[in-house]
Amino acid sequence: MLNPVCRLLALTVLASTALVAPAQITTSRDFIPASDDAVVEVLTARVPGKMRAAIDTPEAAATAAQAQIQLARSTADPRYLGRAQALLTPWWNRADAPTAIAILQATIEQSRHEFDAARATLSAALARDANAPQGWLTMATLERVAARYDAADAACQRVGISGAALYAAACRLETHSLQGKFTEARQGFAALLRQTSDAPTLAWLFSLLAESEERGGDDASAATSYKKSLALASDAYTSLALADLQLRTGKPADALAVLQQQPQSDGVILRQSYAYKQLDDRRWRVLHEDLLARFRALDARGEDARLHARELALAALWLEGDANKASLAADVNLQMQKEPIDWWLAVRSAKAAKRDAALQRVLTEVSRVGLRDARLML
Amino acid sequence: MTRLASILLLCACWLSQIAPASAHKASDAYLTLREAGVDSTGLQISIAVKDLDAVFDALDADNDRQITWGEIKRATPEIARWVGDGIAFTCAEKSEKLPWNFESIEQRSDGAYLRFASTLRCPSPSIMALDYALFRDVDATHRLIIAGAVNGQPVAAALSPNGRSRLQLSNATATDPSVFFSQTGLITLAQFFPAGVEHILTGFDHLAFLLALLLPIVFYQRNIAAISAAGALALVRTVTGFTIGHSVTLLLANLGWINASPAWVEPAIALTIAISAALNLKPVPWIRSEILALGFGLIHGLGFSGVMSEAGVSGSLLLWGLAGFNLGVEAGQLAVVAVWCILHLFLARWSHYQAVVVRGGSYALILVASYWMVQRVL
Repeated sequence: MLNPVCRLLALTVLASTALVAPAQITTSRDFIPASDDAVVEVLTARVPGKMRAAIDTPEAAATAAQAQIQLARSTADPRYLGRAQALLTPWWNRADAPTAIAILQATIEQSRHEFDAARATLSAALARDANAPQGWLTMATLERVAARYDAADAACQRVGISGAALYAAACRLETHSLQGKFTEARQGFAALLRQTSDAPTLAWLFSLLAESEERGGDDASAATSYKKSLALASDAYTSLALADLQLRTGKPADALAVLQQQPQSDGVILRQSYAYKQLDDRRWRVLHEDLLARFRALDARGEDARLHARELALAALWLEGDANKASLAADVNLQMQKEPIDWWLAVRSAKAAKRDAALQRVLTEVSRVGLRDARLML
Repeated sequence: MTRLASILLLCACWLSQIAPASAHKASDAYLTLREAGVDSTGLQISIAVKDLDAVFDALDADNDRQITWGEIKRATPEIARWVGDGIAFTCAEKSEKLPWNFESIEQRSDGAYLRFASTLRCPSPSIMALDYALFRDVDATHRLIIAGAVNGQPVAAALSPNGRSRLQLSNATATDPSVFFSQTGLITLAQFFPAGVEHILTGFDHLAFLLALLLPIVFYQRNIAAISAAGALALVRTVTGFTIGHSVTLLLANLGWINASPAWVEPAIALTIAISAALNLKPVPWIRSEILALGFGLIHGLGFSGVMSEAGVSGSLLLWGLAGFNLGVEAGQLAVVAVWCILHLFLARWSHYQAVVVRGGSYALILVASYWMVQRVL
């Protein structure tokens, strides 16, 4: 799909962000508080009971790791994924690990965008024990990220066979909606929303409905559904999705209001910067600098630049006005993940960079995998 | 394991969405190495309060998720011992535990850090090593980011307590090429030469200034169809003036003798271009171009400053690095001048050279410089 020269170029572009200022990774400021009562750090979240407490049963380890994964998600701080992994050390990458533990490992890997590793872990676990709805649900997610919708649908059905009917139904509706069955999805989600009163589940269903509506081209309904979801449960993923819709439809002030509620993740800072830029507010530069500093900090850790290629491409497209860099990074990103935003990013930046061949390649690929999304019909 | 599976499924909804990539970075600690006299190296380690909380119950003694200065002061002796236990230094095959002292709190972009200091004494020449094990059981993705210098040799590395956890150092000759990327003065010089070339060739403001100076110097006499010695001499003197000017401030700034803020240097550089171009349009007889080149060159040199400190070069190698960088700048500059000379030989035959090239070019430079000035002030 991407010729080698092109890929090499793209990686060079990605790597060059590390060379801009190699030494200044982070800046720090010293201070000694005036009084003993001065608060030095506020822990946004804390898991009761210490990590080193004897966690020797798989159940205890799984529960503790689960709490850390949830923390990673609610704080957008990946250090908690590292802690979850540490808790699972005795079983990590072990063929005889209990299924539930292997599924948690796959979840951690998936959260770090190590999709190949997650798939391998999950396949092995599900081969040992197929009666694992969570495992199949995560597998369906991985298949959707790889834009293999038929395989995702099959995984969704396994969720149902394992006895989680509502999750299976939502999983299938989401997959079908990606394939363009927007009416089926709208009616199906409406029915599921009547079946439950659990707030987190309702919030999840509303966010799936919103995404489906947005892909179907109904931005107004999508915005309403996103807001309903967020009113039920504040969530980083949904907030970014709503902000993207608002930024795309020229409502940067609304996007800022939504993002304000969220922890300052790279994705949040990126969108705040773009919103300020749309508003002609000079604060966008400060946030952009902050984002670049974070990219450098990731490079200093020796992390794979491809893992943040999406943010790199979006920053190039939205903030740096460098469509060529955006397009190359978007191509690299598309090798890793194929969610609708990734296709949109590749199409949008290839168009802006006037890379006609690349654009054609992406569009051919979109129709080959069978994704339907109104945002791609620019 | 069925109970375990049902715990997991409660959170199925959020596990089925891909969290936005690499929010903050994961957990990092920072180690700085500094020369502190003969055979001794100053060490400073900065560790995030958030990370320490996962190890020390005592840190948030009242469990209110707010860590106060009082709580930190009480915990620091225990933390200092723990740091000593977790970082082993080996000097000439003898392993030793170092005493660490609490120095200060640091505010970094991702929260508060505690800094501890120690001194490493090891008679040269000998091989030293650092083994890092902090957070080994707590966070699988924790890293130690190392920067600084030992014996004038820059050190940059990232250690993982669960992976590559050893750093080899030498206070005599380099052992690990991935750690020591420069060994001798000449190698350092050679290393920084390309950086200098690149700096001038991509430093469009420096080139614009050079062009502004060179435009009015006519060394090809159209009427006699020959090279004019006086013109050629003026060219050489001007280029030399610029070289001396920027070399002086580049040296002074990198040795730390003068300190200039980019806030005024960057706009001032744009101003030098505008003034030089304006003088082409309305010459002032007593301002000679080589004097102008020398004076304004001083300002341009400040624009190159900080290059070495950013690259982490210090000590005895600094002068070699500076020499390499400066030679690179001069080589790049000469290449540009050579290209201009060839162009000039053709352009100067044209009867409208003065009107179009000198005047038109100067107007264009004023325009560009003004744009830069506005952009840099804002």
